[in-house]
Amino acid sequence: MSQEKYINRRDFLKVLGGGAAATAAIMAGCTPKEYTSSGGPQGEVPTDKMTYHTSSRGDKVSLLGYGCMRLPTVNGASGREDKNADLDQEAVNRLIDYALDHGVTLFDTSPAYCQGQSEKAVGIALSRHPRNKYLVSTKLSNFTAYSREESLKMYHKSFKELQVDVIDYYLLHSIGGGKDWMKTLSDRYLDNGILEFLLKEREEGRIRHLGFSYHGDVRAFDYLLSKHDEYKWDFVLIQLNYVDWKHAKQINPRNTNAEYLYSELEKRGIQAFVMEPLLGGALASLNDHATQLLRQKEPEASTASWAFRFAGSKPKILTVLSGMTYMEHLQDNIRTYSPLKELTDEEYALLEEIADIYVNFPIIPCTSCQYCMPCPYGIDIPGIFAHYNKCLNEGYIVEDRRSPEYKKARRAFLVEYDRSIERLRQADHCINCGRCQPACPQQIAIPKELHRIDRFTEDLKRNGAELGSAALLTGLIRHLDEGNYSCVIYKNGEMRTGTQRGVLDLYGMVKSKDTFLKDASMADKVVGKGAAYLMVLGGIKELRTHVICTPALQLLQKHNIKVTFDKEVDYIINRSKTDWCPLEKRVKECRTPEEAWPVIEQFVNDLLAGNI
Amino acid sequence: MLRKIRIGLAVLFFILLTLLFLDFTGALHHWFGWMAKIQFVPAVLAINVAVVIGLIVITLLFGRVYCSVICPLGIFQDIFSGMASRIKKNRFHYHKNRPILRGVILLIFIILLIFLPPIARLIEPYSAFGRMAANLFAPLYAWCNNLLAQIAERAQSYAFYSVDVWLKSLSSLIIAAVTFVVIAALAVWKGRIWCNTVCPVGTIMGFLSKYAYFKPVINTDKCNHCGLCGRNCKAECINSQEQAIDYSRCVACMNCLSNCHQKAISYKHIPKVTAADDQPDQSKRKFLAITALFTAGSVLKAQAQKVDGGLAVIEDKKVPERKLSPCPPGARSYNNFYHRCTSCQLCVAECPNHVLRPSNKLTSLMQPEMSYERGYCRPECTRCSEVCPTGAIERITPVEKSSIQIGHAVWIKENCLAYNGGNCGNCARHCPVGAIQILPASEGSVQQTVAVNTERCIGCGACENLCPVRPLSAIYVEGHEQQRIL
Repeated sequence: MSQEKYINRRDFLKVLGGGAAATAAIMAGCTPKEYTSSGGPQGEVPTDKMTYHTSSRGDKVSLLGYGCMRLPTVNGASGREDKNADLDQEAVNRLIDYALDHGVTLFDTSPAYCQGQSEKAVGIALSRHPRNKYLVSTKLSNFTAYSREESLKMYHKSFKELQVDVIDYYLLHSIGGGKDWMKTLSDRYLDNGILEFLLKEREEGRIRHLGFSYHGDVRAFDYLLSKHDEYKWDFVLIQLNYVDWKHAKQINPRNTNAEYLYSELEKRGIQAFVMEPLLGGALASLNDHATQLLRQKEPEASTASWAFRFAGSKPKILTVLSGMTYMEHLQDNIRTYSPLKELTDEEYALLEEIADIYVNFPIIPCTSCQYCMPCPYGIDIPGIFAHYNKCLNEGYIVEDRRSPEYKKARRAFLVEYDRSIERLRQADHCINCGRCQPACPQQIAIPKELHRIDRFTEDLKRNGAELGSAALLTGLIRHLDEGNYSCVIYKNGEMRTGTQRGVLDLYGMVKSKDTFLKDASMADKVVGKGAAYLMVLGGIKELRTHVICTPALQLLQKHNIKVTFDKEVDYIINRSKTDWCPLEKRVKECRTPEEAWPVIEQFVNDLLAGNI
Repeated sequence: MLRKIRIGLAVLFFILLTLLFLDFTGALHHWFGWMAKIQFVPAVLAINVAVVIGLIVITLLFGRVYCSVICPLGIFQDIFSGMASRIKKNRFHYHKNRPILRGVILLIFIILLIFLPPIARLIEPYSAFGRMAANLFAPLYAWCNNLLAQIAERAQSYAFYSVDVWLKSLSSLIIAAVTFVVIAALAVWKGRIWCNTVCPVGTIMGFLSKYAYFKPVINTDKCNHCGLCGRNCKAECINSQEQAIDYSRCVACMNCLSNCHQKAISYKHIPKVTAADDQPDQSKRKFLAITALFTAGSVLKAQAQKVDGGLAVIEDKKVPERKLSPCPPGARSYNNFYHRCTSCQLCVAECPNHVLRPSNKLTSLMQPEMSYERGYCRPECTRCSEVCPTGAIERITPVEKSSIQIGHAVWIKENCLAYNGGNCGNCARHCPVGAIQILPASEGSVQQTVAVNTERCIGCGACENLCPVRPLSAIYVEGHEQQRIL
């Protein structure tokens, strides 16, 4: 007890030096109430108002979980980015003490975090508190050495580092990675008997909750959930935020919409841990336009607080992990969840709008440091990004031609582009040589961003002109590739895009007898016989695709649908490239579209039921 | 009164027609593009029967008002002739018509037009004016605009934007300058002598105007033989001694009507009449235009030096040696284009992508030619086809434009980055019709192949323009004689 008091005093003194916000917060207890409440929009940080959810085994888990991946280093940076520095143990202690004092109960770490220093630092900080005050979560991060011995070594080491006898939450770390997800999963956890071992450890009480964290191939997620009856997962850690909810594919094609992941868990009654509530920090600072929209609604709430409210508003979410480096972030997040103000329907809609803006118009975090320059092809990289960001902030990035702002914005963008960047130094001259890429300290995907801006400029220049068939289809397939859509359909100036797996979007349109398909132009990635039947049934006019199988090509040509393609194959293969595509197999023997329809219907039903 | 109407209309036509050549935004064409299309030779070449008949009817009714009001070269001469008359009054003298000379020149013109169009184009009035406007006036206009654009930029306004000014063709510039000097000098010397001796349109109109319904007529009762009308007739067609007017040369300018103190000349139906001249300033332009163009090169160089620092130097592209330069989409075929284009250069002045420029080749001298060093023929742009008055480039829509094959891309693998182990593919990424694919290198090799689907290629030059290899691109466009709709 005396030690605790001593720490708190030190704490107090350091924070006093650390920043005004922190000072105000700590001093809140000994300052007249009316004084603090008028002390600014931030207000005090409550100590006893945290929202808690109850775990399957009765834990009282704070909605804010402390993610220990970005603990501060001695250089005052985050331990994730500042790779060669040691962690600042005193700062870690201070943050963790503060978190505990303000109601945070869950601390999540991994043997892999902060170059392997995180578990130990967290263990030191937490062990200064009674064991019943906190819950620890850590992972089996056997990314390189898969063997049973190495894995067990890692497991036992976690107990030692964290200075505990029982781990409250234990996860199989990052399921779905590797070139072949199933092989990686088997190698890491199944074949070496580690999962079996962990299940036994849970039975014996050394692990209180067992779960897994998922990144990457969604089939790994689906597979482990399908084994729920056997493994009885207590919780699963998923990436969830208002952008990933519906737009995960647009951020990273390997990712899966959080809406799907969450609903799969909810269906089975499994609780969720949430990671990346801020999408790697991106949702903490949006472009001016999006920020304005949020401030209009809630002038005093931080941009990040919206993301946290979204992540915390779902009932099955046990905790939202945030990797906090700085006291200010910790305080802001505690405030947001003390207590959680659930989002209204109107606020959900607002965040969906923000997500749209974010996905379509992300600001480019270029600081004009010029490290990427000179580009060997003479491109003015920082200049182009500065122009784009400027237009973004001034609301001159408008894609929708029906928008009343479009005309003015288009002119401003194009005129300003030529003014600020010589034509020969504009983005269309980037050849994707990649020389700039490693030089960027902000890790901007420079060529990709340049191509995106080039595409946007090209669309503005075309200004929605109706073009000939070849040019139209080429435009559609480029849109498909860049937006990572499953299909793009165009008719009479209207473009629709599909984002669902395989033929689902096309199937949906045929099923609902949507006349949009009639005489439409379409771009697709891979067209097998099943998709071809759907196209015939929908009555499309022309198709551009990367890959097509011979039977599909013959079928479309028989129905006078004009097809252009990059590659013709005998048959379409399945996703793991081991066999025929399952739909391709089923419609192989069909002779007419009418004959194929019920087969496709059955296939989709099976797919949705998870039988494929 | 009639004179004032004539001057008013002439000024209007002249300014708007000139602006057609100067306006790079393309906005004016929407309203006044027809002014280029009612020019006589372009209308004949475009087989625009309605316009040709209309012009004939007007001439048969009112005489050669075409030469006074519609023809920009005619008005251009009036400007110089008028200035000269202010300095030296009563400077004209009647001389006899030279019908045989005029007839022979007209005949030669027609023969040349069929067999050797480049020479015929030199004396075709509308095109001669167009070349002066496009080569001499347009750069001045663009520089003024750029000055405004700089001011606008400081004021954070998007009302004006800068345009490139560059020497599109030296031969055309020289021809335009020579035309300017010769025509202006002739006008200062003897008024409309060009129109009434050399100009083939003038000869045709002159033939018709002899039978015009309304003409200037001298009332012999009122006339006191003072000779004022004859000495002020820029067409030198009034024989005041004999109180006779040569209607084949009278351009119906109505000057004589107001010059006659006795009010002896009136414009009406019945024979016998006269003419003279007027108008504002232009003399400094010639000097400015030429000096300005000579300084153009040095200005551009100075600009290039300004943008150094962290930016790599970019070498200028060179024009590749094409067997045939592609004709603008809508030209249908090289033959059609070659025979119908009068090289007025309206399209050259109009091209927003700096693709068109006057040819320096002898066979197609001054006719527009496509090349892709500064830009490429963008799929949505149909500006040249909209402005062409002669039908050398027929009106097309963007749908047609992006499907018309004017040439095809040719890959020079030795120059290609992708072939030499680099990571490029800029041509494939920008081909608007997806006609280019980068095929991966075969095993053990770094040489990627740029595969051009020549059946799908439309020859727009996006690949050539955006190829990073300089000064000669690793992919370039060869023109086709016959354009095809794909």
